[in-house]
Amino acid sequence: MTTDELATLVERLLDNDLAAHERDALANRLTSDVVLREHLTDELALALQVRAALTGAPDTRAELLMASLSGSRRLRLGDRIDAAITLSPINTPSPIRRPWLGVALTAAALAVLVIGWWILPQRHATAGRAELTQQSAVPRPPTAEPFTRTPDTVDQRQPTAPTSSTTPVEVTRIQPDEPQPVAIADPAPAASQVEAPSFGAPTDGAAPSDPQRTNEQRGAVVATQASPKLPQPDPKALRLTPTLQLNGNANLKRQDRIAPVEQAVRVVAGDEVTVTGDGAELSDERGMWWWAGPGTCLSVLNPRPVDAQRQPLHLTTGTLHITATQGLRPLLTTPHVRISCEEADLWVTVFRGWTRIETISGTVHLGTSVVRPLAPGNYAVVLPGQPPQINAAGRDRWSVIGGRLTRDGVPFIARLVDGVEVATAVELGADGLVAPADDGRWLDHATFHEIRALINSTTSPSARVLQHPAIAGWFSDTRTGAALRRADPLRWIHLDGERPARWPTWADSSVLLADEDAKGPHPLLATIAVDDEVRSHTWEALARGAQGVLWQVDGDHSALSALTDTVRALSDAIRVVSPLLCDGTRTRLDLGDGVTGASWSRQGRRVLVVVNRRDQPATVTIPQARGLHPLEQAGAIDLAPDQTSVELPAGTALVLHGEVSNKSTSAP
Amino acid sequence: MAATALLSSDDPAAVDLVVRRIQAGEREAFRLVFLAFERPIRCYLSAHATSAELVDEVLQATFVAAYEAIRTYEPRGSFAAWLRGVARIRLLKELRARARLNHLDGDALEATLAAAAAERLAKTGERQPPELDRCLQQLTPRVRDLLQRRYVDQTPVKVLAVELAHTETWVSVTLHRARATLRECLQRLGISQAESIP
Repeated sequence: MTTDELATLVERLLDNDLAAHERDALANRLTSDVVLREHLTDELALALQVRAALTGAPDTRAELLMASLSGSRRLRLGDRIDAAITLSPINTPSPIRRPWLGVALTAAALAVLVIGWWILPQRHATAGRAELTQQSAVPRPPTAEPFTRTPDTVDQRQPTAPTSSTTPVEVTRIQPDEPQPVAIADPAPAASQVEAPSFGAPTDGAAPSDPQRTNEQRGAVVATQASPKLPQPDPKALRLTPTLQLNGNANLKRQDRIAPVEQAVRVVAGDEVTVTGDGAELSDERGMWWWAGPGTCLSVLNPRPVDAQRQPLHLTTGTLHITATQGLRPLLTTPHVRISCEEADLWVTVFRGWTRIETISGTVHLGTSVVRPLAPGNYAVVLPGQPPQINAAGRDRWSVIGGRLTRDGVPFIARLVDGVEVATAVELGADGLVAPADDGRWLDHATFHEIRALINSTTSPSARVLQHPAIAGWFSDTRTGAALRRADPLRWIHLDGERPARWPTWADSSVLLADEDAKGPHPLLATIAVDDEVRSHTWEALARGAQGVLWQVDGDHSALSALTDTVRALSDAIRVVSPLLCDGTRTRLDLGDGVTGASWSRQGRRVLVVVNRRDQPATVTIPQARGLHPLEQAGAIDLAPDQTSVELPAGTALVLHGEVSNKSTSAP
Repeated sequence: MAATALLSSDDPAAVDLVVRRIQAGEREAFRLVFLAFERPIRCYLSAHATSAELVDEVLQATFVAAYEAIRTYEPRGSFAAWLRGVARIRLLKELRARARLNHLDGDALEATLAAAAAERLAKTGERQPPELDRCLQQLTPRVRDLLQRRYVDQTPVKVLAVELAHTETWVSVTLHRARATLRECLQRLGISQAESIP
């Protein structure tokens, strides 16, 4: 190669101006031509040295570095918070992941596997077949194997079906109201009755098929195969890659058979998983841990020998949280990027047409044609055919920080904080919690500022404020607050996904209905629509004993102003008296039909709430109002010191608070 | 933003004082360390890397790793060597990873170059390359300007050729000759440095 050719080649390499075939040809030549290889690397290095010597202005890069370092600080802070919450006596067992929990689950799952794989098949082989034979005249495959019931199974055949627990022959009936004909499909047709999700090949973000939903839509009664029906893993696949342990809800496809998985099962190379329900965890014996959100489609690739020591996963769509320890190098491929990480903790979300990667710690490498490391505190967006765009998190962006985003198995809440300022926000006691936006899009910048203002206003350690353009709330129940914090172990995830279709179980199951009075200590939540009467409805719910209020705005973000103006003032007012509302003794006041009243008192402080629910003004006699004054500016009614009755307009609330003597704190 | 007094990488005692502050929890002091050592570490990495993007990424990763592991450093006046060791390990791992991953991804050229650079780095150790500043001063201002535009501003050769009213080959060859001059200068400096070491 002449000097001119070498000089041109170096510059074209630096400009990335070589065509693919030229690169291949040059690579082949360099393999054999050691001298040329040395010259080329030497020239490239010298060009880079010139660049290094002439590059100035490190201040900007210092800023970027310091922003990245905040990630480390955040992690340590998060660990401290997690540790403090874990030690808190008010905590109840939670499904939230902890490192030891993963180990315990893996150990338990392995134990289940050992039992399941060695004992159950023996029992199925004898009892299962016999009882299947007795069961019905429904055609069966010659090699009929046991079926199991899914949790929401409605067994319509109890009178005749065998009840032995060792022969779990069940029929999954999705819609109980459908007619009775029962059909047990043989294994292969059963698999074909559900819409097989697309695995392996990129679907460009298309929504995965949900077999259960498909069945539900059809209203059909079908039998689905359970995990014991899956074919045995291919021994070759077992050799190629360490097996993964799958815990959670998923549909597992193996050798063209699909079966729902609801307990621990081994996933091997060639398997394809569609996560359903509450999500699923995958882990392996080397300490690698993955959590996949509902709707995530992933497959375990058949690796080439060079990949055998790594764990190759293909993610088609959805969100995957990867935790790799002990220097492992898990390999993840998505339709747009190949990710290799070492001792890493990162989120990967495959959207329609792009992939988002955010690393919390550890080393992450991204690339297809160009490999780029993703340092902690940064996030990358990868569009098809383009190199990763790496940005520092928290610079002019907001992040939703969330953990598993579930409570009682229901996807729920993420924390919204500024990526860089999260540590500061947490140190300030911020507990602002934000659910994902309705349509999964990024909130606009103005909205971010609104929410930040809301979050910054939250400093009380007792009141928990759930804030969102469409949802806000206040909780007096510290256990609920602690649970929410546990559900949010300071993991990063950005706004994505859909707003949950229903409230979490704990909220659904403890709703204070209209016209109901709370009885007993069970925390009850009231859902209040944000409208013209939100103030009176809120105070009335609290008077009736609600220990949490969810303010809900119907419609789009245009209602944000109403939330920030009205509800924020209301939230602030409640926060002022929240110690009394939380810990004081609520006493219902009998003020006549259509008038709801209650008072709380503790240590000489008192709150009095009277709400006129009538359609016309009502004159209300207020007991022992001396020393009390209106809590809010809005709707305030001036009271003379000795005034004991007041005329309340229709649909308004009077809220008084103040210091009183001990004698006057008792309600009539 | 508390970094007010600049730190010199040539003053090990002062560097250790700053490191002690970082070890005590003063994160902002790490900015001083970065400002002092960014350039020498960048030069070190550049002497063994295969692309500007690789230098930038490993540089960032080096300082992040150094910050996370700074408690393991014992202040004995050897912070520069310690940091260079971190950078070397990072670069070596990165080059090896790229050599492996790029083979998987089908980019054989990148893999080959990365493998060659990794092999060379593994042989050379942690020696800091001679400063290029003195050698750059020996070039004419016109050539220095050309180097600046080409390698710092990353102006493509095609654009430079149009602006300078020359062919692309002329630009490439001129750059090549400039590098040759620098290489000779570096070799002289390297020899003199080696001779100055007792």
